[in-house]
Amino acid sequence: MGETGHDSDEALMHRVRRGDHRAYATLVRRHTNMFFAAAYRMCGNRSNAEEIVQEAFLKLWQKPAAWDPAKGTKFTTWFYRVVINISIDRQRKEKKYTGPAALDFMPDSAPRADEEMQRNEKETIVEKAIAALPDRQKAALNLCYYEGLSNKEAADTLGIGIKALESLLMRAKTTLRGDMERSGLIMKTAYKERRSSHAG
Amino acid sequence: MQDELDTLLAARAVPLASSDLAERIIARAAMHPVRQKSWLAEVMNILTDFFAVPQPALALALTLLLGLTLGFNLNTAFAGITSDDLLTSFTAADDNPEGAMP
Repeated sequence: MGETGHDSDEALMHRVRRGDHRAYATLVRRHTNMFFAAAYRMCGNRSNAEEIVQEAFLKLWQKPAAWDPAKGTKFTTWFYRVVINISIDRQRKEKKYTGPAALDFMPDSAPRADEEMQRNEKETIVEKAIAALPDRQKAALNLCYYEGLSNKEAADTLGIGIKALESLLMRAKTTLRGDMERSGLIMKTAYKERRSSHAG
Repeated sequence: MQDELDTLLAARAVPLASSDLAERIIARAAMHPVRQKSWLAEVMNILTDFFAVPQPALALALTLLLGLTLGFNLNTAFAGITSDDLLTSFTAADDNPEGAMP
């Protein structure tokens, strides 16, 4: 068994396809946190996100041939798709969003200062607005804004073209802007325009 | 200038995963050993990986281009030989079979 720590994800996947548990362990340790964050952003709940990542990695172990090196897809791009699909499937089954788990952010014994309460309130509003987006818009937003994927990579992950991805992002941002304006977190566009014209 | 919405989105936080999440996943996977494939499937896998073309469309286009280039070059190499020359050399060979008496 060779060195695994410095191997590329794709090299490790070739070994996982041959049943190498050590290569699998390296992949899991390398990417668990990153894919947990992706799953959390999709479902908004810590324990669900952990279950999603676990399910995705177990599927990878049981059916490693699902990743096809002949397609030339990066392992992470492909695995984002697996994680996002599992998240969407679970949400459809549950048919409801459990709401942002505000307690996930708070240490047990931390004093709840006003500032922190306000911050959590803000986060809750943002999380709820994002959670209410259609699945594909939410996935596009998460991949491009938080996972640092290029538009091309995000489009590949979602199995759509770049134009379609840009359209999803545009619609997501328009919806979010409306929600944030209504909740008073950002100024209304019309009001801002009026103010800038007065200033001019 | 960064948009207010972008600022709000950028402030979105994600809690940390449990510190033992990766180890739990690895341990669970170890309880589900992968069914070993037959040696034939294994060999086929290795061969498929070895000969796999990452960009099939690009490879096909390049092969076509190479074929056209080679074809064009061969055509120009034989451009000086006319069909009359070929016919003459053929009949001349027929008139003087090897070993025939002069």
